[in-house]
Amino acid sequence: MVDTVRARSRLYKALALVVLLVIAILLPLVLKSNYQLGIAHQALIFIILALGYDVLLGFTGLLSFGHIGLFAIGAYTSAILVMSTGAPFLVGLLGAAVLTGFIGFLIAIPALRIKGHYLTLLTLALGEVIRLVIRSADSLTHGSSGLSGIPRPDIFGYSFRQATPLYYLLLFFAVLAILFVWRLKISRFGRAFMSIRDAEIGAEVCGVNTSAMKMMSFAISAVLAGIAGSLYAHTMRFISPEFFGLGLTTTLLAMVLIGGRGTVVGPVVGAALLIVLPEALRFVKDYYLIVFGIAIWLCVIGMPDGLAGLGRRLLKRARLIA
Amino acid sequence: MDTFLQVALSGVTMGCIYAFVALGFTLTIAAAGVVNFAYSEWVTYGGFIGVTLVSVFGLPLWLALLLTVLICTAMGYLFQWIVFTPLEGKHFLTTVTATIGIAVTMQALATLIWGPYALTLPTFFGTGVIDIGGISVFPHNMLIIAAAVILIGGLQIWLTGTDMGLRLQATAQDPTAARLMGIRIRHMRTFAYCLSAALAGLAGFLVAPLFVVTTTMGFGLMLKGLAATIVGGWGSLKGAVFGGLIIGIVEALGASYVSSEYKDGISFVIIIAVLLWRPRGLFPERIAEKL
Repeated sequence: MVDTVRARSRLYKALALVVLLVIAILLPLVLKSNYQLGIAHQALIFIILALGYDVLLGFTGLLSFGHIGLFAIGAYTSAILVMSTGAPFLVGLLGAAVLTGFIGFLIAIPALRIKGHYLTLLTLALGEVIRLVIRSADSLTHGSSGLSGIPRPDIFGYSFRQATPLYYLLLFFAVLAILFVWRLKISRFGRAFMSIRDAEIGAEVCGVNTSAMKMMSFAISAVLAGIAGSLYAHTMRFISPEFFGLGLTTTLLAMVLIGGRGTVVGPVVGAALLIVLPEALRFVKDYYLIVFGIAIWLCVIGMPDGLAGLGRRLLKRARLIA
Repeated sequence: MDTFLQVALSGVTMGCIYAFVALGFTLTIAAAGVVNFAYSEWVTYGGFIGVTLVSVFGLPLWLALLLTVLICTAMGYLFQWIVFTPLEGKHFLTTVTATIGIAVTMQALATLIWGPYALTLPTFFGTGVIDIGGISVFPHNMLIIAAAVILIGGLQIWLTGTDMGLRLQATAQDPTAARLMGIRIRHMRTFAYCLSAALAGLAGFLVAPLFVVTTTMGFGLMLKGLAATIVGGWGSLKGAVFGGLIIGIVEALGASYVSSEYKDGISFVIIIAVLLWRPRGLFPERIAEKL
């Protein structure tokens, strides 16, 4: 009985995913202008970034305020590699992923010793130091004026200059990220991450190597941030240190929390929502931020599991009635 | 030597401002366990309300200062009622995120009310400079230092010497035990929020003549206040004061002797260094924190 219910819910989930994927594939037929496609590009990039952040925050329960610093490192690494050495896009992407993964690993070493708010403040300071270093390293990063004219991706001679092919490239990476994080969640690593979040001492007693798992969580989320950063640089074609400030950290945090932390669908929904909404509500821009702030507060108090948790609760209620 | 004294004096001045901010920030952590990331906006509002009272209503500065502190206190009372009470006893992640949300709203509201341009506030004693033994001193800096000495001294005497101060300390150390001893911890917490907001208003008003009043003014100050809180020890009021002074002085010395370009980075480097070597700060609370 339980098995059939579970199998059926898994079937529904898979069906919903396929429907979403088809919608995503057909979306460029509806979005005609480059402006609308540009928003879709950003949404896809932030889906990857938010998924990585969710691995750290939602799965492992570690609140980092320095994640945007890793995103920035990814963007700058890829842009500098491609622009100054003429390396192909894939090399830039790989370089960004490797470097941010390594830095995420380094950050994890001191982060193992401290917990809670100390960890958050440490990562906040690290993120700001990363931004200041980027701003000061004029010769490499052009300082606060930023890097412009970053080429669009080009893979084995096939150019993604046009908005529609670029959309499919980003969609490919986003789907890859979703599948990876989903697979990670149901693997033994995912279970280890979640056991650290729920009961760290308990996890340790049960034989989970909490230090190694935390480092791994940091590194995985950093690699995803690096990939997102590289894609961001080559999509927007312009990056500057001011963009990677604490305001963006807030947005990223809100994406994961409003969507629903600890789930795979949550960050995807949250990122898409928080990229599309400000653009749709551009005509009331000043008021948007006022409502956005209150929405974060309300969401944290009244909807701690985010939209994903709300959806699950509604589904359960519907099933009980039926 | 003269330059050193000059730099040290400006460092102490900023240190006093940071100490105010850190104290206000720490008060709500100690008394209610709420980490208030909207504190930056409280400081900003202190500056903006001061400017409005002086330039729009034409009030004299002393009266404006008093009114600013009163309005901010009222704001603190209102906030604890609506925003913070639901957050008490919640996880760190919850309080941080919720108060960040409030900060976003308050900042957007400030931009809407006062516009995106920088405003200025005059000082109490004009822009003249007094020469004391070869170092030139702004009277306003002396006012900030004097205010800090009086307020922090008074707070120390009040906390350790009066009945109410002891009750506040008891609430900070163990709310359950304090409640069982018949202390109305709700009142104590309300009081802590109001005091915290008053300190924010004071800091915002006093720092305004040194810089300009912008919507992002409070945020930089709060980051320094955070650094002071880390250096001094999380939740320790004494630590907040010393931490603020240390950050102010180190920052001023670093800016003049090392590089002014990295001035803002200094406090972050201090945060990282302290967290790596002495995570509990230089003046930790005597009662060990439950992990």
